[in-house]
Amino acid sequence: MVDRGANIDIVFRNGLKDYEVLPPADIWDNIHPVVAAKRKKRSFVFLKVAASVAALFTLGYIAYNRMGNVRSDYEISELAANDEIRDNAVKPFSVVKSSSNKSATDKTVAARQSQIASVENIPVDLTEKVISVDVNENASQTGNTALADLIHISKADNLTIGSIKPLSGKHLDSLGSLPRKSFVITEPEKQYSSRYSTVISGYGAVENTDTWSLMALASPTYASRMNYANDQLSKQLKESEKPVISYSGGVAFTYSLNKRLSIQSGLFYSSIGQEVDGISSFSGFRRYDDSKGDCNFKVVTSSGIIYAKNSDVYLSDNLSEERVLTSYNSKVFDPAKASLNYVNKSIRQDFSYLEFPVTMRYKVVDRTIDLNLIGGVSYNFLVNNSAYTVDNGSKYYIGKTDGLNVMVVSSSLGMGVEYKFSEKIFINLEPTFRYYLNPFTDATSYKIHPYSIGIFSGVSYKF
Amino acid sequence: MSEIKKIIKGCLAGDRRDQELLYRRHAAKLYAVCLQYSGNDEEARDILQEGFIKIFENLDCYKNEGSFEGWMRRIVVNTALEKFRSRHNLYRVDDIDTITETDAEPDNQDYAGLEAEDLLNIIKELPAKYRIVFNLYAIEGYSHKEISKMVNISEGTSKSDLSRARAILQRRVGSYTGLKKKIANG
Repeated sequence: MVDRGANIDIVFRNGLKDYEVLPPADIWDNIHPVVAAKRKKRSFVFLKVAASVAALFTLGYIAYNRMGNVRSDYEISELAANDEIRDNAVKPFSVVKSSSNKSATDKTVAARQSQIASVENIPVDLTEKVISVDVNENASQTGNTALADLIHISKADNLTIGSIKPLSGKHLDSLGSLPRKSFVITEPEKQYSSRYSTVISGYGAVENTDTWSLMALASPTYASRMNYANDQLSKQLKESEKPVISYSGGVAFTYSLNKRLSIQSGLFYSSIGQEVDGISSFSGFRRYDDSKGDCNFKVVTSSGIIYAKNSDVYLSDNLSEERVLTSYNSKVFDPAKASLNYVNKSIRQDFSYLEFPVTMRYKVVDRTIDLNLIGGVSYNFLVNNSAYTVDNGSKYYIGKTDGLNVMVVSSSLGMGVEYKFSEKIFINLEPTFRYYLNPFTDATSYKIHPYSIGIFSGVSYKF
Repeated sequence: MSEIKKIIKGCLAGDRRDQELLYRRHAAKLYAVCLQYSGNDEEARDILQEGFIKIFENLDCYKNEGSFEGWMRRIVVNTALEKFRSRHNLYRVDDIDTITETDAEPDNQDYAGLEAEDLLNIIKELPAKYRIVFNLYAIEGYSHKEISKMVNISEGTSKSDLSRARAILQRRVGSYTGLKKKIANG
């Protein structure tokens, strides 16, 4: 039984060995789109995640900021509504309201903002036991109700006399000439000081009324790549591909969400590239080129395959002969015997992008020289893609890299120094690290993610 | 560097022409494998399509160790098994009748004159469960223990299926050769 079974096994094994049946012609047409679509789908996952995080972060912060403003307004109203009770119950410091009319209140709030913003030496931390605020005692008597509207000083003075700085603005002209007092919030008023903490910090957010700024920046950039693959070809490509110094520049608008936080967007042009070493190029190949309509040389790089569109160029791999895909390899064609002209031993790839950044800026230090933390994402659209070599200082065109993504998303993190050159003009210096969330191409499986380091410098104008 | 390695690198780099070249070179042989495992052309076509998609997706996992053709064949066979499992998920151990010696014809037949196409037609006519076990054991060279895990059956069932498959094949091969001789003799 076993022998008989083994016999029939051998019949089928040998009979079907090397047997071939041509599949229906349309199967390939179904396979290729699926393979291409799956690669694209993988890249869109990256894009969706990045875009969602950026959108959520931005919207979340704006919502939070708006809620903060509403709360401050509410605090003012609440304080105003309970004025009279507190006026009688709490001495020597209380808050009164001079108008119940809404529009009048709005105007008053605006006036408060400008005045409080002008008062110097307001302590940031009102939870401290003692604070001093310069006020004008007779402000309400002279018709300048704005400041008195916010803070009323009772007659029961246990106040200390201080000095007041000259206040700017036409509303405060009369104020500056009147007798001044400063007051002390003592321990019993702590419950009010906490309320004032909210109110005043809310006003403090509008200390700088310039909410917009226009910035022009440019930077040389050093671009390289992170290689997550361990196969031999990826390592070989990494060793032979060298980063080159590129550049980036553009304009950006910044909107201040509050005193420290701002959101920025704009339009940048950035160029990024690399040098592929060990690929010799020769000119004059056209007379030996018998093929028509197709390129004779393809160069495998980590960013994709370079198709040599220039039919006059001959390419050979000096390092391993694995990166140049051609039927004209060194076994069948010798460029020296064919008297081709040697051009260079390396190829450059250039990719240019139009970049739309969405970044958040947080002011860590707010002095004459500000220090900002900067982070966000950029949407980069491919506008130029070329491969060339350099021949006596001029570019010798080779071709293009195939399969590059039209859009890539990059994340950026930086630290910006901002020097106040004048009231409106600032000088900026921003070292920035940028990491590309998806590679330039999804066509390769090399899992190489580019990154760049640049030092952006430029000027900004606030308005 | 061998040509197939160049093609693989081209495929990894997303070169559509190399992808198509890889397909054109190996599709016919792999389609024959698909036909061995499937009962009809439509199912074979699905297996080939899904198999090649997996090949392209997992090409970076091929470590240049062993035969590339063998690696592709394993992917196609696994795809065929997935199809089989999904369509025969009620395949139970106790469904199988025990094979008896009398089921098998004496193996003194003359197999001469049988073409590969004839063998394929014979094997396609086997019930699916017998066809799968026979292919895995006789053609691919897996043991019953391995087959039991791959198809989710017991080793005993695998042995029974193999015996039943062999018996059926021997009978049909006999019929085929007899028929062919009659046709040849007019």
